[in-house]
Amino acid sequence: MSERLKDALNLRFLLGATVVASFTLLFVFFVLFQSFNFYLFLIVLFGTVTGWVLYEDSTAKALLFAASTSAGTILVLIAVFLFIRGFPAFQGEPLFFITGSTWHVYRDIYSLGPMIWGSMVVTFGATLIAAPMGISAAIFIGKFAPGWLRSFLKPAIELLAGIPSVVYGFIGFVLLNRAIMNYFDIANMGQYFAPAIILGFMALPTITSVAEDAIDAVPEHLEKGALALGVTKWQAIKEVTLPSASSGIMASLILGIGRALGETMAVTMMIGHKTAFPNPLYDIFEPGETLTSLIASQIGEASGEATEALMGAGLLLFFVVLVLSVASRVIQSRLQRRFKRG
Amino acid sequence: MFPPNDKLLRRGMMGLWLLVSAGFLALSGLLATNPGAISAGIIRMLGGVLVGLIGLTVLTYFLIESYQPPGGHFLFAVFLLALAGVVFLLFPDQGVVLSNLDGNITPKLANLSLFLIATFASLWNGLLYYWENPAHNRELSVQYFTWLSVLIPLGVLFFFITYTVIEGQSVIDWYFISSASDILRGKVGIFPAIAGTFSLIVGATVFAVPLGVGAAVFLTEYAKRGWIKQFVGVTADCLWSTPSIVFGLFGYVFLVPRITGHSTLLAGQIVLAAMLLPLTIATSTEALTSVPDEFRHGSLALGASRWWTIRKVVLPSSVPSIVTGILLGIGRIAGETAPIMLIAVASGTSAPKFFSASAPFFHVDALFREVDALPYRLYAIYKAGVGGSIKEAWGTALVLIVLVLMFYALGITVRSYYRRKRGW
Amino acid sequence: MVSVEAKRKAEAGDDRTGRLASSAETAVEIRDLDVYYGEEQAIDDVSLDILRKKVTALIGPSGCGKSTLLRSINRMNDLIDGASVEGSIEVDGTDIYAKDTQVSKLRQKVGQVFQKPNPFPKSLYDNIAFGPRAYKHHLRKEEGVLNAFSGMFSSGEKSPIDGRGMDDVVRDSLEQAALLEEVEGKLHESAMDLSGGQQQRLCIARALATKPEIILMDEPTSSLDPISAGKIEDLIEELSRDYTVLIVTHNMQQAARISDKTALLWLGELIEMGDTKELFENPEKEITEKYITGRVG
Repeated sequence: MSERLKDALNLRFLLGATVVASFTLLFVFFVLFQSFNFYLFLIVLFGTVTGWVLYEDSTAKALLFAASTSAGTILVLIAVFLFIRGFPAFQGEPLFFITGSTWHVYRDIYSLGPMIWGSMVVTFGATLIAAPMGISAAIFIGKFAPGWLRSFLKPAIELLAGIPSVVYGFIGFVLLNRAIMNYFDIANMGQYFAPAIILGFMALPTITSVAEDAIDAVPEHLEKGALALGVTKWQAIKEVTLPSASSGIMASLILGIGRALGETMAVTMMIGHKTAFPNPLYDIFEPGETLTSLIASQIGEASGEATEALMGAGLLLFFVVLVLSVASRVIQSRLQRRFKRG
Repeated sequence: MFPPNDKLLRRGMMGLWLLVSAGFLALSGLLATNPGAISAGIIRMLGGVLVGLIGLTVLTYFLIESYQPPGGHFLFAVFLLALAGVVFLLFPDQGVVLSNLDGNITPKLANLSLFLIATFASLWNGLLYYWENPAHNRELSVQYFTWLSVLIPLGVLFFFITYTVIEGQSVIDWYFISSASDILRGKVGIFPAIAGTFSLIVGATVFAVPLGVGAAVFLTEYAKRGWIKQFVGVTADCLWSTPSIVFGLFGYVFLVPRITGHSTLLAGQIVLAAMLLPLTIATSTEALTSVPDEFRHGSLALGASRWWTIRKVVLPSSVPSIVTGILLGIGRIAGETAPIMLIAVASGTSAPKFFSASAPFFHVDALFREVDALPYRLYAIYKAGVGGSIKEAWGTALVLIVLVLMFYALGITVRSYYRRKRGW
Repeated sequence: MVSVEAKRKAEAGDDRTGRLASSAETAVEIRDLDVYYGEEQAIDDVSLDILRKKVTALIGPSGCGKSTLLRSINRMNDLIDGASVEGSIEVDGTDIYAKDTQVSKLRQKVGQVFQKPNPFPKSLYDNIAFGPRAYKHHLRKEEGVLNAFSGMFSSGEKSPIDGRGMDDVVRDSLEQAALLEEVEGKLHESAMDLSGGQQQRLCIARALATKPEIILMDEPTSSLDPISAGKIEDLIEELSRDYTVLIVTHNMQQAARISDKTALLWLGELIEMGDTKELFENPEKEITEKYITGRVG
């Protein structure tokens, strides 16, 4: 017993324990009590430096481990704090909050129905555009384009994704909204139609790049085997490559949907900000509101119950996109397993 | 799926298409009787489109049946596409008056209708070619659709960039990018926004890179199997898909109260770092796993410790790829508005002053003030109603696009240069 | 399963079971070694001795466990997922699988040359200096600076570059690897620019720089052209004057050419081991005879 104690009391262990304990305390204080204890910070800092000088390898490993927990920590923090501030909005009358049709700040009535509808409509439209084009583009880049064209197209598609959403929103607002207003004699500068189109082009690169990776990952010998049997290139792609890549393609679709769902700025600048259901429901040329545009446009001036409701919207959004993200991963691994066996 | 060359089937399909078109026609007629519901203009357009489509369909059918040109529907598809392009480019505001559903079609609308007709008919013909040909003869149609699916997004990209350049370049001059706006003298300058964006990027990189690269190193070099790999993979993925406004909300409820209580540059940097993190982890992991195992084995067999191997062999070899990943990531977050809207930016603030000529030469307190940022400038102009500031907006948009392009170009250049140079 | 007859032979020193009586001459003692990759057994109850400053060859068909056995001696097997070891391997009288073994030090003492040359993408100089520099770091950091100062680690560790400058170490190693003349003046150029044979000799020089006692070679010439291979074979004979060499080879002629002792492995078991000449001319076991004459494997 005393042997183990002696082992434990060596300098390396003590140093490590001190740093870890101080860091944990520092973190807890910061999260719970909103205070940044400078002394704890100094302990952590000097402890780490000492550890580095004395035991570089072990300190490095510990630091790297800590770094790898960072993404998880941030995600958990986001989830927790969003939940704390947003869940109260769902208490009381959750059904009304989600499906009700009124969002009226002055009357203090908050329900997300129109916004959920708006998000769904805009995302659906965007997917209609992005899915067929995105997957076809992925097939083109992956299978038909010669090498030089590929190395041009891949960065080009990435660039499409890289253009900031405010720029999309601005151009969409100034050009597309205005054109629609003129062509169709609509009184408003904002509807569901235009953001859906722009969003389609914003989500397309996501779908294309993930789908293209999936298509690329299909081993060549499968396709070559089919070709050796005398089928055309397209037949080989359709019957062999695409089914094998189907899990990745599905995943790309889900990710694309998630992207469209979460897009904020472009939608905010093009949607017209009317927090009510369109009448008739299928009228996509009326102004509307999505979950993201709601939060973006109102969070600045909101207070009290309004803020709580907006947080609730944020929580809903976060949760839905989270589910989509996890679902995409699950589908990918499950389909992959099925195809490996078959 | 479809038996080849079956005349009956072909006629059946044509019939179906006619039926569907007629249905839509009837529908739009129905809607026309209730004009208040949807804008009348749309109804007119729909009607025009569908009448045109029907006509064109019948025409197509008889032409191809009679003359049986080689490549049949495909040729027609391409021809129609070309027609659509011509209509789009040559008649943006005038147009050929096609039909007259209730006597009041504007030329623009007729033009749009013609464009839509040509486009949809073209697509339909492409499909027809696909269905009408036996399974081994469909390549042309596939080529058609896949080329289109690449050209359209590229066209959109090209259009966006060109339009921005055209509209914005008149505003760009040295004053614009190097000074703040001087309202009294009516001059516009966006330097504070540029400096603000720059500070945000630098801060985000400082926070995200050590964490991201560190996580990647741990995953590839230390954690072989086990839950931590899955854990980090899933959480990084989820973080990556989190909507940008949610990051803004998070900053608002978590960071801001804990850092002075009002908007600060630091909060913006931390939130942008959180957005940059998953991308950094992913690209760094890729970079590290592409370093061949032979190097690691060689190093370990010489008696080096694992950390020494990482520090002296693995990391140096993977630095260029890691840098590329960071540059591409920076390009992404430079244009983000939603996360910083609430927590870091305010209009009209001056550029953050970190350095000064007199002691103490570095000011940390600039971190705790608000900044301006390029994407936010654009949004602010929109919110204020654009109006007279439209030129400024285009200029800002152009600067932003140029910035993003620069980072992308830099990243890709670094990647290809080192790929050629490295010898493995 | 050692018969009375075999025991007598063992006393006499010519023992085809591989074990010797006197241990002053053995650099490595392997006893009852079993190596598993997960459920699969790769090495089955192998016992043999590697003689100091001699060249020992491990031969056998693909998959018989030669490389596994080799890698067990410098514990590079540990890097493979699911690998487990039973039995003992003693290097210089110390069990290398003991709990408190310092693997880095072991690998400094037991160098390895790989089948495919794997120089680092650095200069020749930095490649060779890598081992000694790593060892310096290990001395300072892993033991702990405080420990280093208070001299609390065993046997008064001396760094391999003890007293000499790094330049001398590098040149010395290159000379021993018969490479110095060819690369004189190009020491700071990239190692990736060398030819295959030169790269392999660089790897040998790199291994020599840490002043090992034993050098493990895993099919060192199989990826080289005949001329380069020949140069390396000559080098091995030279090296065996100062170092213990254990070489895995699937090329029996090579084993016959350059080794003093040869051991045949088959499906993870040690079939026969002895003086090379004896083994090839008078094999004792049937499998050995069949393998040598090419009728199996």
